[in-house]
Amino acid sequence: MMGVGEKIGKLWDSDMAYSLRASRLTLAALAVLVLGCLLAFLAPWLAPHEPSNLGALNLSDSLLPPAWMDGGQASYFLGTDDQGRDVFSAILYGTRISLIVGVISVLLSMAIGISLGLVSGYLGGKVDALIMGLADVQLSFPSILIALLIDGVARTVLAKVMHENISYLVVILAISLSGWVTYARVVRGLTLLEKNKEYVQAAHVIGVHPFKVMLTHVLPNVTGTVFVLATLHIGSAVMIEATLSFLGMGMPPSSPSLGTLISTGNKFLFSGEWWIFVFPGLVLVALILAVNLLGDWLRDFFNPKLQ
Amino acid sequence: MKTEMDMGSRAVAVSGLAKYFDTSRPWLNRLLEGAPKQVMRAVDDVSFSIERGKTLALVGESGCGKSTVARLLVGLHQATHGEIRVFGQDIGVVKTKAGKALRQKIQMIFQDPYASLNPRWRIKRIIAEPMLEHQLVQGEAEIEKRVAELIATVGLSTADLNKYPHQFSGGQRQRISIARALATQPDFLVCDEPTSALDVSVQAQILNLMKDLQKNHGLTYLFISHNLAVVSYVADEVAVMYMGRSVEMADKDSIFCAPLHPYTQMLLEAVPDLEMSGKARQAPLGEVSSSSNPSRGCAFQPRCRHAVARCAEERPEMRRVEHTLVACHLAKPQWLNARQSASEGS
Amino acid sequence: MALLDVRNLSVEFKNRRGNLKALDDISLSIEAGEVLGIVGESGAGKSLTSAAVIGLLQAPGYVSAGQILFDGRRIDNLPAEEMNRLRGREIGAIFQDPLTALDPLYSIGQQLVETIQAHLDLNVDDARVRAVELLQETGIPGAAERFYAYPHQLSGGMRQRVVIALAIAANPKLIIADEPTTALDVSIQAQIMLLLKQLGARHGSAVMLVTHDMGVIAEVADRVVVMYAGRIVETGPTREVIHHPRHPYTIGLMNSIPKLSGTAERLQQIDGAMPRLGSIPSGCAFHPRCRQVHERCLRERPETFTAGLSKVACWSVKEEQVAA
Repeated sequence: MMGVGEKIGKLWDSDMAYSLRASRLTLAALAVLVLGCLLAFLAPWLAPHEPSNLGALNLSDSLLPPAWMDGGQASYFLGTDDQGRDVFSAILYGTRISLIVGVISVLLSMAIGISLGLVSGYLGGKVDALIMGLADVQLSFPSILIALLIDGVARTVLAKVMHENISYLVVILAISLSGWVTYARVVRGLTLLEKNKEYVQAAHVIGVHPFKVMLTHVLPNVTGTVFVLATLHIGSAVMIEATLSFLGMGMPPSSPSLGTLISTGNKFLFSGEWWIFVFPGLVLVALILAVNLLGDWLRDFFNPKLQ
Repeated sequence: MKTEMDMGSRAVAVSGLAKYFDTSRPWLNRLLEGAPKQVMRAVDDVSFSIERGKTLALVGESGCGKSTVARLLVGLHQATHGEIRVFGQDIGVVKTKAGKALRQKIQMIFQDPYASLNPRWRIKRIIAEPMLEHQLVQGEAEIEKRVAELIATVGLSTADLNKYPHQFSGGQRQRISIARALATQPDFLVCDEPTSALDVSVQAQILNLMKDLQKNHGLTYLFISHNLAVVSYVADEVAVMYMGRSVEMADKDSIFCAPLHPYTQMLLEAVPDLEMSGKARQAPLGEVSSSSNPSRGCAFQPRCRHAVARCAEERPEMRRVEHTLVACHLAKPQWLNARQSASEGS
Repeated sequence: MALLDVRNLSVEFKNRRGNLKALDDISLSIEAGEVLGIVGESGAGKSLTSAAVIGLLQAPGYVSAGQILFDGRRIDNLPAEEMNRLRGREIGAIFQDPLTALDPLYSIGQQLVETIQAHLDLNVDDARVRAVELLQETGIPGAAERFYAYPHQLSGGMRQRVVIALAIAANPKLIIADEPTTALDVSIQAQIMLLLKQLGARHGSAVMLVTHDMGVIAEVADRVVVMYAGRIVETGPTREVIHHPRHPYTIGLMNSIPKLSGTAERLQQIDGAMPRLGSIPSGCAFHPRCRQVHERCLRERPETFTAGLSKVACWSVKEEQVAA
């Protein structure tokens, strides 16, 4: 068995790592993403203040500019918002929320999409028509609209107090339910293709139950492309979350995400307190750009025609 | 040669087999255009039987239905009409629990070595799957032993068991397919063009292997091919198909030395002459027409040099002429005199 | 002077792990009007050879050594524009899959006219007339009506005839046919091979026929080149190579082909498999599978010797000659 050192050496030397190393842009994107994840993960230790603890906020410290400008204070590195919240700390925690929500939504979307796509392609007939019909209907609505719909329904159905606590879940649900269609369609197409291949027929000849064939033979062979899609989708999931929060429908002010911060900052942009808008905005852009660049590279790497 | 009554004693007996596919346009289109239902007769009344331990080759060009017949025989398709009996049992029984035993006895080898193995599975798992499915082995140790035996039988090594299909060549993959097919100790193997995708020297290896296996294990083969030279090497009996119908059936020597059906003759003429005897050859006429409109008469009539009026009107039945079963109005042992006899009134 | 002269051609593929030699110092020639068959199994390099000649080598492959001369002038280093003009006008090509060789969006008539006008100085009407003539010549029934048909409306055999018509449209001196009948039924194969032969004779074009099927070679080729692992192992008149093969690989190949008249219980097989590009053995590429292997075969790549009417790259053949 190979030692850890050998394994890392093999990974470094692999085609994938080589291709990654070859493109500076992709490497930069990877670095940004890794940095972002680290900062977000270490937020509780890195952040000088606690933005969600309303009790710790000092109203007299509100609307302070960044530390290097006149009137700024060293402890509030990037300034404060209208409630005295440290922008830097808020960004750290906000990135954390954005990333968590983004990744989990995509995972959930994938799970729903792959299952439905697999069943749809494999069974065909009426089941296929039904699921794809549903997908077509949903595709005619913009995903934001669907997310808003789900979010809005959740709000009215659940009590306000409950809503604050499970806003995470509602947002995640909203984003994943609006995003499953792409996965379903791709997986359905791939399933239709794989279904007729001889190794699947061989399994039928052996006598394996069709359901088992679907799960053990077809599923592993259709999920590859989907992972590339997912990487790109993380970017848009983060975007949707930011949009929802910006519109006031997503994360509550008590645990602001990057979108909430941008929303707050928007109000003050033209009255001169630009830092509340700009810094979270820059971080959001950098994050999504990094994810998209990585997704592009991944897609090109797996494209057999470009090799 | 078999007679119609003799079916029961043969390992595989197929009678009146037919498979129709619905190729109609979508329901809505048909409703709006008033178009009729369209049916493609992929297999149209085919009968044959195979003696235990022997090989029947099913020969024909693309679209003749031989691959469909193969799939019908292993239960991948449901026959529209007709009966398939393997070792005395109706093939339909494999779908039931009681039929599991029969399932083990029938296996299939496919044409495309690159698509017949799951690219994400290791070789060991691929070969072990049939055994596990039918619970023929228990425990890791026994699985390992049995899989190792099988991989050795097909000429590969145990080191190959941990690898993935893409690490092997076409010929090696076909060997792995054969090992998988042998895992349940079957008695009947349906081979759908197993060497068509392989190089000539690799083909020789695989054909030799298959012949050895047949001898050692008493296997019965249904061998599908379009390559007559390969067929002359492996087959005991040959059935020729054209557009879903069987046109000639005989033992190997009769087919190759004295073919009676014009299509069989045409196929044999078309085989390139490696001897380079310089014999002048006639190029075949025309092409296979699309089979959505089955003709009332003989399917081969548009391309047949000897066709007469009757051929376009009446579909010929399979009838015995000396050692051969042939579906042709004009076929007679003294073939050259056929047209004369036909005009005299046969 | 030979029409096509390939001298010591080598083709390599650059990949990050180094260079892979796909064609290693091959030399062959085609005279005007003759049919040369290039036969070999998959991976032998025969398609690569035809691609190199017609200038359609796909990156990362490139010509690393040698020359290709056509009608006395070098063509392997021509700029793209000149190569384009050469292609079609003087060298025509027929590839394996007729379905992908034709553009599905244009009728076959349109494609023919486009090709004719690109290479011959004809106006549209004259080009149309010539196109219908070509279709008739390649044996397409109802050529005048079929002119307007789209590729998907034709059968495989018909499509291949259209591709052949496209290839001969400008009366090229050399036609390269890469596995032209592999995707077709056996009866159609026979028709197409006959057609190629007739057309070659009628127009005086030479044909470079690339195939893995010895039967096709026997039917059509005047001379044949046998390739193995990127090298040429035997060259000679077809009858000679088929009936008196001299290289152990050719002998093995001929013996492993099942024949209609054969009564053998077992086909003679060559054990092992052709080496992949990255693992070609030292010395003679065939030595691990050879029954007549000598010590020298492991160290030195064989030179080419004359044996009878053929040229063979084998140390055993030389030894036999010395003994004789």
